[in-house]
Amino acid sequence: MEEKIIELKHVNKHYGGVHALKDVDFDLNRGEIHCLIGQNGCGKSTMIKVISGVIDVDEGSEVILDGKKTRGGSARQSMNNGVRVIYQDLSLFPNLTVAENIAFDRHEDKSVRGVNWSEIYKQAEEVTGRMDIRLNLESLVEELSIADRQLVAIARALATNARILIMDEPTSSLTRKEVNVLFSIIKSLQEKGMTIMFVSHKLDEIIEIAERITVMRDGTMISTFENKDVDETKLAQMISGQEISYQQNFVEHGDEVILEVDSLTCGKQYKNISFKLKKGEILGIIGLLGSGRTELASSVFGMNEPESGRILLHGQEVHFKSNRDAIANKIAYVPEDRLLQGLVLNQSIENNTIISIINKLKNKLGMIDKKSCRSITQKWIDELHIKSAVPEINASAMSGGNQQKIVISKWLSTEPEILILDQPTNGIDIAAKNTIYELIRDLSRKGMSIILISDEAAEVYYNCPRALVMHKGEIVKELDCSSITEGEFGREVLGE
Amino acid sequence: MNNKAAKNKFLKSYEFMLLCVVIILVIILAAATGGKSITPENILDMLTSYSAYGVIAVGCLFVIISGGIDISFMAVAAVAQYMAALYMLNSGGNFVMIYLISIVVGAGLGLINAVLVNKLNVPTLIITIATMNIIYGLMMRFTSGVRLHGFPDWFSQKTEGSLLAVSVGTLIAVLFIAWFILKKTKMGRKVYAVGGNMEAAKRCGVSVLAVHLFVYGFTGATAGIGALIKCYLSQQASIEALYGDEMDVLAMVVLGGVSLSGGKGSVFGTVLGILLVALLSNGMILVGVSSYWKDLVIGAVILISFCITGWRVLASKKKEKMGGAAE
Repeated sequence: MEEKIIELKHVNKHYGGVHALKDVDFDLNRGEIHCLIGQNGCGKSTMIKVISGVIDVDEGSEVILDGKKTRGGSARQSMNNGVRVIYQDLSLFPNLTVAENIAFDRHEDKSVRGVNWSEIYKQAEEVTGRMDIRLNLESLVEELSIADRQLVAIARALATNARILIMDEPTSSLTRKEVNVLFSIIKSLQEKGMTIMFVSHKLDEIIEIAERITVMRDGTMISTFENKDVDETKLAQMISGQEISYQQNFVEHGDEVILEVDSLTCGKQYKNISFKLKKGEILGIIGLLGSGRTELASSVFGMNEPESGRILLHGQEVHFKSNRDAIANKIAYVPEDRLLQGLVLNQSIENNTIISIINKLKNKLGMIDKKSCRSITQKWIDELHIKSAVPEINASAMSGGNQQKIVISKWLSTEPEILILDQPTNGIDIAAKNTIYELIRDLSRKGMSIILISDEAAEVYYNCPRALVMHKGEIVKELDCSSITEGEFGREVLGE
Repeated sequence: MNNKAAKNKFLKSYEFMLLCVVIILVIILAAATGGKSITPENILDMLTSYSAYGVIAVGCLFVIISGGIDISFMAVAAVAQYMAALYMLNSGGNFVMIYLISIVVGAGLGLINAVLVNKLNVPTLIITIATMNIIYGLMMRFTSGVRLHGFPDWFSQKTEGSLLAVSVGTLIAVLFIAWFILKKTKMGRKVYAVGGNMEAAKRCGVSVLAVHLFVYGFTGATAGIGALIKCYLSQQASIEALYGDEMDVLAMVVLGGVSLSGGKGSVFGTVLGILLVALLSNGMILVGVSSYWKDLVIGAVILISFCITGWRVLASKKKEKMGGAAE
């Protein structure tokens, strides 16, 4: 019989009028790796807060820690209980050194007097030693890569003698190699008796690491599975509650070449890149973080001047001084980090949608025509099935999938001929992913040419008839997806 | 950290650049004034007259590290100065008492700022502009702008020693205390933490209210002390004694290399910032340039220093682009 470290029985949680958790039963066994999955807004974050004790639950609900009933309340309390959460944003202090971040809890520990720097370094060294990792303890956290910051966040949790470690989407901005490092650390922590709860969207990773998997939908617990009883397809269906077909679904495209890139080179970012994009084609570019894929895309979009080579549109050579030239030539680019580069979060959907065409919306007096703003926004809300359906609502209030649709609609309103999508489904759930794929196919049917950049093999394999593999700044392969299996495709991409 | 790495880091730091600028400036001024600027008398004179603003700058450093800004400190200083002066005129008193009164009055007004900042969730710039105006308005109403002077002998009979102790001595003490707090106390580290990532600090259990109370209270206290120094030097207390010099103080802190978005700044940098402003102003008087040019020159120095910082960031980014993209 497994020993339960924490148990939730008939847990309900209301936020105002919203019923965020509905009669949830859940438990964590001591020393297991347990994954929690579900769509955006299904109640995962509330679950994390309940388990970590940051929030209290409704009357009649029971949270049992180590066999004793507890009540939640504060961040401090959860730490005293030995529960540490590593949030998606990592919650580190960028301006402090690695060592001080790791040992930060000393500043809140009443039994420690003053600040003893040699003790701080000693503790940081001890913890990183225990994790068997090497970090420059004197560096500021802001100087570190995302992967290293992740390690610092884990080290900080270990420094407080956490027994239960909850990680919220720890792999969303890591390369595959870095994920491997993270997983081996997670496994070694488990061997030392740590209980780990892992929240993620990436089903392949979940299957790889988890012993048990719990699926949530709309605030209810669907079921908990042993790893051996499920596969990706089954999980995907559980999460969305609908049959999801993984089938290649290619759209016929014309032969007319819209864009031609000819031996484009830019420093050490990428070299000698040549390809052609046809009207209505969905061209996949697959490559890892750091393969030069994003730098290449921003060059085509006029934001990163190449050193040599040519870009031809409809057979005419073009030189873009800035992205304004690219937009004028009907190219649109949806960036990788939608929050950083694509969306003004504290502005309405409407303002986000029209920002790229604001000059075209002037009336005779040079003022912005409110009515056409509204009608354009409404048109895209309808066409892309954005759920909130009110143009005034702030973009920050939307789920990840819908935010991505807003960014896409912003660029669609410029009526582009070429749409470059950089990691369009990063961090959004499976159902939302599918609607994005349908949207992409729909656009290509209407004659738009699309470049789909991704590091997910399945995403490219199922949507793009033709894919280019980028590695260390070069195109190493061109693959015809319809003539090979997904397995073969995956191996080709990895270069095996 | 091994010594070589530490040395390298220092050589690349903003503080080092600033130190070079200060040294070069000293040399240029010494040459331009035929050595007059580096006589002990002039140096002491300069430090004495800038110690009041130096003390207040240290308080501002704390607020800016915590991610906020304070505009009301000169108004706070005016109140503290008035209170201390009133006390001296009515009850005689002694140095300990007037230091205490200035600190308590200043810190008390600072705490009001802290509570407003913490509870209202409005940019600190707006809040402190509002409190500044309220305080000045109330001061005008209750004092009718009357200047106070004619203080007791123990305050008005200045000797060279007492002058140095009250001005430069106080400045050095405040600098040391500030350095100690920021480097060696938990509260000091929490000030950096809140300035670097307030949300993360909350999640680690830091009481942001306590940090706000501390930094705004501390700024108020330094404003009170600065006002007292000013009062001792000029032998009068008035509303307009410090009015309008907010930007000189902020210039010292900004030149000292703080980040206005919070989380960064050091006492050493602020010392250099104070020195830079003091040297520029003092030097221009010695060279015979009209004091009207002072503001222009300080403005230009701020612009140039920020251009250099920005240019350095750009240069390092460019280097990264050429070298690092393909891992």
